[in-house]
Amino acid sequence: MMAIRELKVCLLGDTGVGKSSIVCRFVQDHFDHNISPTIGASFMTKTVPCGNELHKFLIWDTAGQERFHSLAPMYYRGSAAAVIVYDITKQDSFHTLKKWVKELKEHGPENIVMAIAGNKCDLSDIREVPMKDAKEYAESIGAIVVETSAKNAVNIEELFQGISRQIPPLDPHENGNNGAIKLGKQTSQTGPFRYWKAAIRSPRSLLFSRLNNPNPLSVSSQERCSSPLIVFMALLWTRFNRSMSFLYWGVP
Amino acid sequence: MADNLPSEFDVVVIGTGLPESIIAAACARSGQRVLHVDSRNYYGGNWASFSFSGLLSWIKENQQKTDICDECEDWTKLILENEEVISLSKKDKTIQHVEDFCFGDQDSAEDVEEAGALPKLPVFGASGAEEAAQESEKECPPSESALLEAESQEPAKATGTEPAAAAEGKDAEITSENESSHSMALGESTLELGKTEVAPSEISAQEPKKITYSQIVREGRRFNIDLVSKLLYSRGLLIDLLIKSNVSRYAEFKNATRILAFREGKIEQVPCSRADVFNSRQLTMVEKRMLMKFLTFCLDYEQHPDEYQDYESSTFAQFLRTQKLTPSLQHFILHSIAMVSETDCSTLEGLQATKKFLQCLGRYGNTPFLFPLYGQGEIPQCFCRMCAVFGGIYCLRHSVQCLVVDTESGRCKAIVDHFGQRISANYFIVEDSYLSENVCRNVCYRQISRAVLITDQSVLNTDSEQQVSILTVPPVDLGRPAVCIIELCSSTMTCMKDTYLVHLTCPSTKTAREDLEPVVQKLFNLNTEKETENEELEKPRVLWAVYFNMRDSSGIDKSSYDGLPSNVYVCSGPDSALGNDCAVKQAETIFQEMFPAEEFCPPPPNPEDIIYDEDEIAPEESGFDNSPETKPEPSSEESSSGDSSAVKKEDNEE
Repeated sequence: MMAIRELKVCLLGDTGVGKSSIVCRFVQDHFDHNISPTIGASFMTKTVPCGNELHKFLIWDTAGQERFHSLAPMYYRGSAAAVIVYDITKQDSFHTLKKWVKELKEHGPENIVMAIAGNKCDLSDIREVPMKDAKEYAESIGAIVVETSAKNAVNIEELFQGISRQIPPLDPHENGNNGAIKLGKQTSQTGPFRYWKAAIRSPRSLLFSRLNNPNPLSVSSQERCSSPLIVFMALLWTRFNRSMSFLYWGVP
Repeated sequence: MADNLPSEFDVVVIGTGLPESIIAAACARSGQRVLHVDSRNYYGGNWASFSFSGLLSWIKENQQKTDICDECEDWTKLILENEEVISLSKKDKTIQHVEDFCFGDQDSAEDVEEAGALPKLPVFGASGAEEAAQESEKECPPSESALLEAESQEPAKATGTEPAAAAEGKDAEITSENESSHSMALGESTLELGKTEVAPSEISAQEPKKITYSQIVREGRRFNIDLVSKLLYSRGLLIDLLIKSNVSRYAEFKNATRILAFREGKIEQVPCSRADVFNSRQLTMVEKRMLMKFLTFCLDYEQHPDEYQDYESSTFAQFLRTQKLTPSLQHFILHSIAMVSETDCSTLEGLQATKKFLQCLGRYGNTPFLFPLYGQGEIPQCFCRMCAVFGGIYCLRHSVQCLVVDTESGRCKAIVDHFGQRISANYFIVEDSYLSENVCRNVCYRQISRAVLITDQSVLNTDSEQQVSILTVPPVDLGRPAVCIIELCSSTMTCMKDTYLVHLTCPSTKTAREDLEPVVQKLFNLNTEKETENEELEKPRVLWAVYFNMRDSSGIDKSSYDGLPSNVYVCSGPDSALGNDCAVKQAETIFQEMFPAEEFCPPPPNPEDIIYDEDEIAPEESGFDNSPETKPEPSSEESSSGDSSAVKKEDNEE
């Protein structure tokens, strides 16, 4: 069983250069001419093998917040890689690419893997940005660079494979997420009674135990209707308390 | 800007604080066309978090209080005959008495710049830097120099005390990269020695725990300093809303690890879960039984009215005195568990607060509280993202000059922005600080006193350095407010390694410094190293501090504002309470008033997974009425996809 590593990838680049199309092609192998400015989808996932690991890309789209230069810093948090996209038929989009890179350097994690994608290479007859310029620039910032076409599925897989290769292998001493809690993925206990009881055994085990319940909402609804359960637990509790009182007096 | 804003929306939201952001998300979620603007160049307003350099700029801005030059377009021609205007405030006046102090070694600090930061602008939203820079007529350094800075910094870090990120480990990449560069760094650093700032810090970095001011500045981006200091009750309204709306997927949290109490000049850990009570060494057996018995009673106090009925008219503190509890237990319960005032909290309120605390235990850990990684300022941003995902349009650095009111109907019709564009909408949400003095002249505001300290060790050292602690310091004189202190460690991603970020908060009676400095002096060492006396040595040393007062505009009735049309709603800034219930309640109330028939942030049918498919999405022209029902079930694709690459539906499967 290969280990699955979740990798956050954020997309950057001007409006209309084809960020969403690239993801759409990569994740669904699908291209839509009339794709509306990104609405409703803010991240998609795809798992690809890399060495003896599986890389599960969580690809975050800008959700249009880049349009008026109002991307939130939280967008960059914890990204393993960034795909910065420009349109080879628009010199402007290559010019602003450099600003996105600067922005990334400011807000992004320090060792983020950067990949530059010159999209719409199927339109190379109206090209404005020479490949050479992009290559030189990418080299100067240590980024991967590739020309892509989301429309014709050119180099999309390669782009993400390139990223996969650049991701440093997982440090065995690393325990992953440092005990950070993701809400909703987490089991919630049914109530303080149960918690207090179980906590005697091991308070930590609770943190990591998980119900096989995929829906956090059903957990909370379960809580709501658990009052008879609580009453029952309370009953247990009093008995338990009594038995524990032996301990109190037993231990001087 | 090439892109122009549409000139018609359903809802215009002004201000990106927590309640505004929740409302924006709720409106977009229910299919409204939302425009969300903020005149600042960062998200969150007074709910924001800043990097160190960002906070310094914020301080400067609030100390200068310069008037913004009025170079806005003439908008009078946009106002029709039967219309009136309500001008909005151009200057934020909610922050006062800002005083910052540096206690660290400042020798080498003069020319130090944060790695990769733009020196003059607050760091958030700087990508838009272009316009912002032009507006403020400040120059951005060319990007190359920023890059150089960033690179020159790496070796300094790698040769530091230890692989810095090892303990943090939030990003696997950071650690491994850091370690790999460790071996190379020696070679590199000789190259970099020419850079003046790097050399001294390397020397000081050899000795652990001697953090200088220049190091703080250089590592400034590791700080995420909250303007408002809060924690999330694990069963509070905000957690419920985050889970319900699935906004929680954008954020990660840490548990508060310790509840502390300050009694007789000493800091102690408060046992609050059953395990804590059992394991506590400071409590005697008898005390443990007393405490357990009382806490168990509090969990279902409603069932035993006979136990507290006689004390309903007295204070909670008096009630506790009758409960066979030792003074130290009374102190723990009153100040650290119920966290209520000794003098004016009734028995029922106290019992309620205690019960709330106990009920929150165990949902995510040993204490009732969660703290968002990277700071409280992440939460409004998460809701904004939710809004954007459902079509909301975002503009920072976008001020609104006035509201346009129709004289006949008395309703607000439109806004005029700083470009002179008129944007019409049906509903308007305005954060309190945007309202002009004219509108607020009858409003009586309270104030919050805040202090933020960067210290070199925890107030209570234990085996683990990574603790998130909450400590309530009872007032010295009765009648004054207790001070709530939250101490954050570096694994919360809010401060650099080997430092702690300490937030102090209380309702104001005087200026922030007058309110809080006595407490700071009690708990911390404010002297520079040389003058330190022996008894002071054990206290954490303050490296840097800032005090400020923030306006508390919570709990103000809308009728107190003068002449606001009925379709303009006012959101308040942060309140002084520890939790976020106030903001969530306000957002929900306003949303229900606007759209009584709509559900508030309903559970999402995994909106992230909307799959673009010609058949399904075809009729969608406007792009705004993207009802989630159009989402196709990806299960068929999933099963058919090959084993090398599976399209995964996101996701609660783990």
